[in-house]
Amino acid sequence: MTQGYWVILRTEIFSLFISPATYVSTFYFLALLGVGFRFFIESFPATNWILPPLSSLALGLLFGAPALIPFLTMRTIAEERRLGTLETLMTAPVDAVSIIAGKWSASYFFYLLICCGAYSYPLLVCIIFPSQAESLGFLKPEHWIGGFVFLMSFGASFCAIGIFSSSITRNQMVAGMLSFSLITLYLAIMAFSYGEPTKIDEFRSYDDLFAMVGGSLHRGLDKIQFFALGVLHIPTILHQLIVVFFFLSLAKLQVEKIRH
Amino acid sequence: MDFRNSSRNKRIEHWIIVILISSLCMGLNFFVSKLTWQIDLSKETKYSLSRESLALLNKLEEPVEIIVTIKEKNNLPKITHKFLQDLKLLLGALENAPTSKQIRITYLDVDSPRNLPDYLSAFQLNEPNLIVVASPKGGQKTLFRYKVESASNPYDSSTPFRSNDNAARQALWESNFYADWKESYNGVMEPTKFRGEENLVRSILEIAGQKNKRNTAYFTTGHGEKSPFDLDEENGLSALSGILQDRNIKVSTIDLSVSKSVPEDAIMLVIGGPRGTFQDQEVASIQSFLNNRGGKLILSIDPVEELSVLDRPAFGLRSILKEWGIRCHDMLIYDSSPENYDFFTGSYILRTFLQKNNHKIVEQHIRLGLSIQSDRCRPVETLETNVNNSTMCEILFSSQNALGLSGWTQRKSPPEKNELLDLEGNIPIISVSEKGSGKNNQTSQDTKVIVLGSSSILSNKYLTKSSGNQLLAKNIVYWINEIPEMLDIPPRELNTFSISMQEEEFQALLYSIAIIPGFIALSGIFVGWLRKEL
Amino acid sequence: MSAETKPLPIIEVLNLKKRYGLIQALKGISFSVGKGEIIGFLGPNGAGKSTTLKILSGLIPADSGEAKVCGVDLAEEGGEVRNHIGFLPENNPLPEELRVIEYLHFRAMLKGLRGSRKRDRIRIALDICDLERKVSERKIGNLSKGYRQRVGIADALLTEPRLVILDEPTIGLDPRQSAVTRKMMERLRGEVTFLLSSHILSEVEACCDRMIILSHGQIVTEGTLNELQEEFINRTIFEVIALTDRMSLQKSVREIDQTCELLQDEPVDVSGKKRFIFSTEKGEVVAEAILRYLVKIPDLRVFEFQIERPDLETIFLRATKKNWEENDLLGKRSRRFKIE
Repeated sequence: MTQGYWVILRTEIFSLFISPATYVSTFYFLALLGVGFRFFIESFPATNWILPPLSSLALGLLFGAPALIPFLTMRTIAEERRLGTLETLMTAPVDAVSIIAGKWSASYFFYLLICCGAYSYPLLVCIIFPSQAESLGFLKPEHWIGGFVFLMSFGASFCAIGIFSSSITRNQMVAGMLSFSLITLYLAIMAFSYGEPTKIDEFRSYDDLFAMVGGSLHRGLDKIQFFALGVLHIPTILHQLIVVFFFLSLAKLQVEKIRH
Repeated sequence: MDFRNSSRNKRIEHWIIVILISSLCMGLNFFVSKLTWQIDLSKETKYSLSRESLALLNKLEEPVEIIVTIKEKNNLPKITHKFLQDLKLLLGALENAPTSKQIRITYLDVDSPRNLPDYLSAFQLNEPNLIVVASPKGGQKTLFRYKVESASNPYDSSTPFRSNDNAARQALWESNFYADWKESYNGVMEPTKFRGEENLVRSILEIAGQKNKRNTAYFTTGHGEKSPFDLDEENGLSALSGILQDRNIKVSTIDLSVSKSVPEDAIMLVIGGPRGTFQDQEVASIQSFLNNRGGKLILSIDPVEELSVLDRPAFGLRSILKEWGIRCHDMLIYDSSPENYDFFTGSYILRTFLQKNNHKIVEQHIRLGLSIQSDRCRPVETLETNVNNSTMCEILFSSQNALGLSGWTQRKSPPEKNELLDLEGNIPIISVSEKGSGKNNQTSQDTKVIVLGSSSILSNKYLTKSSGNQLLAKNIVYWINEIPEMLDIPPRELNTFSISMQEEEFQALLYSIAIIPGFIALSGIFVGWLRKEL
Repeated sequence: MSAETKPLPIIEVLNLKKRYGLIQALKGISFSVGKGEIIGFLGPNGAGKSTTLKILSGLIPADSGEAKVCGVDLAEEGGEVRNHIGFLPENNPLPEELRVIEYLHFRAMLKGLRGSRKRDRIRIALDICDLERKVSERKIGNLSKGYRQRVGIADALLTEPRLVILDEPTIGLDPRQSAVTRKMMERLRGEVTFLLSSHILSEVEACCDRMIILSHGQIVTEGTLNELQEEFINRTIFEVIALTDRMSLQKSVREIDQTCELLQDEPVDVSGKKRFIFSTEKGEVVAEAILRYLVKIPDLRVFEFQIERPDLETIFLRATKKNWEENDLLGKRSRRFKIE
């Protein structure tokens, strides 16, 4: 089973590497992010920005994810279902779990690669302008780790959403738009509940119920304030893992459905 | 079974699995959200509670509520955002700390139509922008209060126009959450250290630690003093009692001529602008309170107009004051220079502090350049000779041009200086005196006396309008009620981020940033060429 | 049946049933396949050929019945069987953007081949399927249909499977291309069991040892070509072209064989020659006797005489026609009306 997972992961990464769409989307995304980063570090002292400037990248990548993740995930299952290659894949001794997990890992891996690309901007600042990097707080390793862990956890759940969207349709455009809307919705709910002063302790209304079982949906974005400073908020990471589990199991159900 | 049934069953089965997975995930979410683990990667784990705090918090005797009614909005000043962020990190750490009693954090939206949670209904919370530490038995203490002056009238001279940012800065300054304010890149004062941990832990201990029974400030009555319950805009002392209550000090009144001695639970006496004389027996009970029980005294005393009381100087309180090294002449301070008076209200502006060896009550005034407003006032000097082992200090002075007029009711206007009797130059108006009990470290037993040369300084008239007076009042209360067991909780260094790049450097940065997408484009082209069909 | 007598059946199917929603795709089929056989699965569209093959390859589960492939019980461990067989799905979908060699590497690794064995097997599979090196370097998306089909077969052969299941391997191929497939099967005959479905009859006729004819989810018949011919066409059909009338010819024929029936007569050309088709239940010997007899009668003026052997198409049509009528709802209903 693990063997099938690794093979699928390798092949998926390979096909992402040879796909022109990946390069085009990565190029545009990183170029935009780079320009944004340059103007951000020029202007942030005049704004209400209180987090370390490094966390702007994490937020940029997070809010850019709705545009980026669909490019990485929409083809995976939808296109394979349309072409029928998913069935071919199933004729080999692999199970649905390996297929889903492999495809998810591949897109996740690629997302992390792009994150690394984005994080090379502050690295460049550190190399070219060491004194500026110091005053910008780029030399604190905990800020790097915290931001990246934040991205890692949310990237994982976004990729899972993308894989799920891809698994429920045969049309990759529909899959792309679906994952775009789902991720945007996810971000929007987190952003709307941002900073709302409520506390979950007792059940008083449906809001509280939502807050209890919604996981990161309820004020998940707040936690960037922790991660940006290098405080890893473990429940947030676990919440994202639950989201990953949830969407990947749904995707697995979908893939298994075509076998009946 | 029919085919139709079977296919329906299959679909139902599918949905049941989906529902099961969903509820499993929701259940997991529920349990995970109860977890409080976090890993602090920062150097010296500065976002976690220090060992000192943890040790202190283990002594809690009651559960503690911390209620924050600051609503996070985008239009808050930047410094408030920063404060909220620091506060959240700290509150998170406090909430999750292994304490003997629970510390519960509530972010409350006082504007929302929802009812208060049951556990908060005991506390009067209806004001926004507060941080309150409370416990069911130990009372409550307001750590931070910030009033949004929504519509300040630029033509109203009594309320100077201030930006929200300025007001927020002042509120933060006064709350003592930040320390070591330094001028930053554009001349704005920015804090460099966060003292929130010390501040909160101290308040939590005050509220829910071992009980200090002495928690009441008694305002004397019976001599025409201003009342702590008087909301009058001119003469009431309700603003002062509000400040006391914020610090978890109860406010009550006492007629010493009736009650013989100061009650057991008294921590301080406040004599706010008496008009009549204190009798010997009253003076004796005050003396006993100060000398034997480490009492504190706030005395604000106006210039005397009536000749009848002149035979007993300082309303009969002279003997007490003398004991504490303070002399309070029955004089009036006359200032000939009009620039020392507010053009609109005519209030006297006091802005002279002792530069060297400044007292902590006015330390912030000096740094901020705040002035204190007053009505007519009288000199309050300290004696040169050190009586009674107490340390005395004059903390506020009139201007250089001022005269202290003796027998002023009979003087001509403008007065001429009587070389023999009058004072001249910077005349002290507020003096303090304190004496450690010396027995043990329990310096809450320290006797502290502060004498103000005008009762208007702490009255509603100026306390509600002048930020200098507000700060003064708060600092007086803070100083008087200082918890002596100094908590050794180190303040946290704040991160400040700035950039000072030249335009060319920004250009260079942009070009260097372009390397990454350029590399991706090139590798894309290369891979495309590799994959080209031969 | 012949398969049952052979040792070690590689496929054993008993009363397999499968339905898709309202449609009963398989209504209980049973058959078995011995080692090294090449079996043709015949049937009209929608007969359940692909469904059977998918079930046998472990791709989809059956609703009921038993199936054992390569000794693996499909009901117990459906996934396990995929380790033992090669399967070419219908339409053979392949990823377009990969090169042939990359695709085969991927499939080989999926099937658990590693290292030098992987390389050897890929080389052998390419060789069997006549995919030369130049082709293996090309992208699958740019290959012609025939080459793609061969890539699919090469994939099916990668793990030296004991059983290879090919779903419509020659559909859409030109005769030359399908000849390559046939040649491949000929090369592996005896070592590998092939189970292939098709509705191109000549194809099956040419290379299959045995065929199973399916219609409407049921096995109509199975056996070698000869067996089927005997079973289905138990009459010998012969054709006489003569310049005579129907009555006299029939009379002459009946003198030899009373049971002989005239099926058809039609004029051949303007000269008055007619083609008469007879059928007899008594076999070719009788037919030959009739010929010898007819030739002796000068009045009949027999020009040609031919004993016809029924081809697979006839068998197929006959076998499925019978079944078709039974399943024709309208037909059934009309019969029912007659009864009422």
